[in-house]
Amino acid sequence: MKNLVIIPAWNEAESIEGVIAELRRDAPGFDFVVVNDGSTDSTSNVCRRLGATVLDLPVNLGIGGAVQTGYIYALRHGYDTATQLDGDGQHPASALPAMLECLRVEDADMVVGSRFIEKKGFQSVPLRRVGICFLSFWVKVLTGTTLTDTTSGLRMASRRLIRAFAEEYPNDYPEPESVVRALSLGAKIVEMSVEMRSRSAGQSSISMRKSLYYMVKVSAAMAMARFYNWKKKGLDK
Amino acid sequence: MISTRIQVLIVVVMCFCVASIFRLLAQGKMDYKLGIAWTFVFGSVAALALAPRTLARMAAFLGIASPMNMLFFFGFLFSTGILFSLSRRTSRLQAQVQRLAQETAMRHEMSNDVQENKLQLR
Repeated sequence: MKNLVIIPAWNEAESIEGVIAELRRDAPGFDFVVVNDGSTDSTSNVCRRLGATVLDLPVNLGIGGAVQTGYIYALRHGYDTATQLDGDGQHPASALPAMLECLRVEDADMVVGSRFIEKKGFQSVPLRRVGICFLSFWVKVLTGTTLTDTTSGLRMASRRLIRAFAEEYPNDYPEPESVVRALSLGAKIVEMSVEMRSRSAGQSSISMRKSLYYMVKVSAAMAMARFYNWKKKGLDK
Repeated sequence: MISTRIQVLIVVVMCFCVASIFRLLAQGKMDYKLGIAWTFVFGSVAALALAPRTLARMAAFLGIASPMNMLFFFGFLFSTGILFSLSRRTSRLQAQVQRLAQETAMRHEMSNDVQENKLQLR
């Protein structure tokens, strides 16, 4: 079974070395690719020095475009699973083998690492937790599925979802929307408790100022994803 | 009715705009589709300004109190149409740029792989 880890990275030179070292130590059965999203620092050089496979995007596409690049890579190289893992050191690589086992046992299309099942580790700031709560409620309303951590960037996708995401993936703030798209396609999504950390370096792409826009945009996009074209397509067998 | 002064002003400004469009088209700095659309808008506004009776009749038909407002309404309507079309084109271009950037990254990585393999073979 071929497993890929997609690491979207934008100006993560300070933290990426630790992420790669952790992956090699705690998830040796996983290949990984760093998608350098037009960084202006030495992210790409650091990764190459460490012998990592790097996809250098010539311009900054944003998280959605960077992650989709990883899914396209996974599809073209025949990977069975693709796991999105942030380049800022928030996600523990040690969770990957358990997520893979969960994907297999549950016969799921996606396993999402959730901070809020056992409520251990970094739980995000209170205002964001309110937003995440609302998005979980919105997912429940739109799809009937209960998910606790809809904004989690730690997620493992099956081959069927790799194909779907390589074809079409939301652009900005993609996590909640991609979950609704996957559910609308008939994918089975399960959550697994994962203890996350606060970012080791760099800044989050979502500032407090952008939060309101984020909520409005994401909520509307999720509703569109549920009721528009994705519903008709269905996942490949 | 509209005064002669404002008629002249509108026609002069519209002529200047059309001339600018033609210059951009000649220099290859504007797409013909957009150039034609803008020329149509400017030309229509100028034509309506030169035909105040038609303008007044249209304003009365649509229930707009002043012919001048009718003129602005037309300009606004046409401009909105062009802006909407531009929004569509920008979104399409964004998707195309994204695909292009992704393909560039893939090909760059592939060529790096090939070069490394060549070096290993030597």
